[in-house]
Amino acid sequence: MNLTLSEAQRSLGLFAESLAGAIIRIEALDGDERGWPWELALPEPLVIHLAPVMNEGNDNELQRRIYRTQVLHQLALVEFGSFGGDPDRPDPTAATTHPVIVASVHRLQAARIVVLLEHLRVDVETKRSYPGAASDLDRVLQLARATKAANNQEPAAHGLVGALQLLTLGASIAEVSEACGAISLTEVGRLFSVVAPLRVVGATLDDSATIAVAIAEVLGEATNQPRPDDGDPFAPVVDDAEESDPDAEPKELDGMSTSPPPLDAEADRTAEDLEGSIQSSPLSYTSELEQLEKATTTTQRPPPKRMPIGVDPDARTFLYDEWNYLDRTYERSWCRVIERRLDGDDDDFIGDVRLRHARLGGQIRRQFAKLRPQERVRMYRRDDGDELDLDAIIETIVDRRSGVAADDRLNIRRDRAVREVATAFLVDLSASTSSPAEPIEAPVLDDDDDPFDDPFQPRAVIYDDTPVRRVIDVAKDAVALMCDALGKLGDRHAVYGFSGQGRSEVEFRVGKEFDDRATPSTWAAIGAMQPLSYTRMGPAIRHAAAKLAKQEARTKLLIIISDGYPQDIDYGPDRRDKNYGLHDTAKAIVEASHLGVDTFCVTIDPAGHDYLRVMSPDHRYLVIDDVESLPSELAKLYLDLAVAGPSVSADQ
Amino acid sequence: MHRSTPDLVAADEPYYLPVDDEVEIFEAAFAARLPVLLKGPTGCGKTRFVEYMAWRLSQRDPVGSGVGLTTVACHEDLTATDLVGRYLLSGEETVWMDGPLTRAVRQGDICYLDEVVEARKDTTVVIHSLTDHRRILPIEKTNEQVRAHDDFLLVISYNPGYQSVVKDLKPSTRQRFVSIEFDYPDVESEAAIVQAESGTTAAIALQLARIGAKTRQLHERGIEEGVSTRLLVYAGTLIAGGIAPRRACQSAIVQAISDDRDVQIAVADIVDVIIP
Repeated sequence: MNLTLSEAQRSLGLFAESLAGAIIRIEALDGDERGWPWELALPEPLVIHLAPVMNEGNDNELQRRIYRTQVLHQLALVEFGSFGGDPDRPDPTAATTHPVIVASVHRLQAARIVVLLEHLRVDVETKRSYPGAASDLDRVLQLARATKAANNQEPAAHGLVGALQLLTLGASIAEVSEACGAISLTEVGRLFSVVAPLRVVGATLDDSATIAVAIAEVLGEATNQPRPDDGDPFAPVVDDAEESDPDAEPKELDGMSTSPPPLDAEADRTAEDLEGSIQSSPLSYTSELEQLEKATTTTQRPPPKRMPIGVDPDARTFLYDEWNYLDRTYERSWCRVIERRLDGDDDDFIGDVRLRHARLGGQIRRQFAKLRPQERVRMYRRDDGDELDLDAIIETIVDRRSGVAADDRLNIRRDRAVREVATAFLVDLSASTSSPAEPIEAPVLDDDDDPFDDPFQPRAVIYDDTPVRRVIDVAKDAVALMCDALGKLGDRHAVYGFSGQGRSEVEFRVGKEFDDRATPSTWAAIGAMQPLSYTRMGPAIRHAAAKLAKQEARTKLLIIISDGYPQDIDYGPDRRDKNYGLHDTAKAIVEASHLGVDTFCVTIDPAGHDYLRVMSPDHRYLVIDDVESLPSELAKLYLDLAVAGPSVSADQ
Repeated sequence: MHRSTPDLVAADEPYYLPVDDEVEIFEAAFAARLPVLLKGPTGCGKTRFVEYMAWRLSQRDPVGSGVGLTTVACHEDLTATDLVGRYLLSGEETVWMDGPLTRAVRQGDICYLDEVVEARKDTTVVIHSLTDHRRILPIEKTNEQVRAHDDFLLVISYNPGYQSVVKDLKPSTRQRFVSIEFDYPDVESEAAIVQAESGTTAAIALQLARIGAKTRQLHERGIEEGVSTRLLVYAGTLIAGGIAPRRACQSAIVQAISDDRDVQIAVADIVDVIIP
């Protein structure tokens, strides 16, 4: 059974990340494409496309190593400069737009050849820098050569370009000579000499470009002239000017003779014969160039969006799978969650919340106080403590007198009791949360300024100067009140916000971590939560659940506060398909339950029943009609959930 | 002769390769008796640095046994009592037993509290009075105030990489220390360290250092931290002892770094492609 990419995708991604120091995406190729070295295209630097199923090799371990070799080769192209001198900003056009190439008369041909030469140069450098990969690299190239030979029924058809391709695939002089009947063993040897500088330590893209231009010149001139079958492939037929100038110096190409080939045999041929010879030739220089073009065309996929790694030094990134309900499979390492700390400057936030909800805050605290455990618990048989443990002392004395090894821990220590509940509030920060929490009423007239009193006075309109409270403001109030009460109760809690703009930019904002104390800066951070963009809920739930799973608590609650169904610009192949996001979110909730995390969705969307029943298990969601009732509803909900205890347990 | 723990200071010079001006800063801090805070990831050489500095400073007092070193590996159950001391039963009586901090204060050792933020919060209360001009250690249970020996120096360390509770190290505590930040050395320096510590060849040491540098590029992907210099030294030691390089790396690095199967495969792949 052949190895599928999905089986090896994660480990290959980690391997790539280790090598590159950046997140590299591993994606499946379309159709029958197999990637390097079977297709000699210059790839995208930060996305590695591999065959969905590895058909080469005869066992899974070898097949995995073939995948690995392909990954290594592409990253080596970046490391060793095929994409320019700055590995952090790889330029896919660095080789083809090299100044030497651009200045060449045969620019197109040189651009194609330089790609081939870069594969060769980088492979040589890879073997030097990663000696452990050398044998796998040789084996993969050998497989590619065998495939190439099997696909070509007429080895003799190979000319110079064919020789160059084989050389790029690591073929020996003898192999190239045998496969390429159109050129002699001597000329194959010369071709090897031409590219020899690329095998030297320290060879660069500059060297490849220079050699590519030299080869392109030979090829370019040759395409303008009929070539004798038995002539020197590097020696074009001289043009009229050169022919008429007996003193003209023959061109030299790194020791290769480019002197005119013996034309005696051609002298008797007519022009028609020559034309017919070219047309009947199995592989003309022109067709070789077409073949070369086909082989070295840069993939047409859109350039990958640069991951904003390093833009924010405080950001941490995580990759999560996404559930594709259409294909019933996980898209591996599909979503990139960017975690950032919130930093606010509103030091009055919690004060304002307490003031605004003074009555409700008091009620919540009183209700929560009923859950509060005994302030301190006595811990017996401790090394030190506030009291002597008389029972332990008696036992110790008895043990001593009876000659038994005694326990010297004779104190009672009073420790603060800890409730075993950890709760994370995950707040939807989508743009829609900026809408008013209540409908805005029309402005009212000031009764004192009746326009009929003085028709020349401008009509005065009184606007309520109180800032419009948005959905996000109510959500922040609710969460802050909960944190205030939970802090006094002693329950561990965290506050996160999430949004997203595409799978590579899932924003995860941290208002409060479990270990954070309730300092003014923590409250200000919660107050700094603001509407952002879309609602990519699945990866946010996975990330929050992963954080919760690390907490040592019997009950782990994840309370999601949202105002609509999950959606994002690329949440599924069809942006209008709401089901994709719903199914991914539902899957994320199931995954959370496997981690021992209880989730509960609270939404203020009146249509929430329609999709929450798809997304959440029964009785694990709540639809709130009145936004302003969110704080009180959240408190009631917490009381129910915390008292009920865990409904799930982590998979062993 | 003012101290009694010469066994804790290496007789021979411990190997330490300075990567910056940390030696000069530590010496200046010691001269002024300013407490020192070392920050850096696991296994990057903080403890070795303190051992080296203790040895180096001990060379200044060739007649006596010089500056001693008391190291306490802090953990979440470590209390102030564990540091200061406690009454123990001895025969039919209770006797007071100094803790490691008290011994260091009395004897004039360098007291190194490794990964201090792991310890319980009450330990910070104890060290406050030792880190300012008072340089005293109050012992409540014996109703004693121990004045620090002239040579006493408090050094603490923590790892800001995974210890999020460092935010709970109050500014009033943090700002009592001179901070020295550590990181893993560059590949060439790390190769020199691995070679010197493990006795392996320069070529193998360089390959191990490259493995270390590569695996540290995995961020938050099932690995709390990258391969430490310490693990690389372990691998080098196994290789020097005759174990095949890949097998040694499997035991000392791949298995040690994570239990995540995919992470292990990826790290093994790094080893595979770098080791011939």
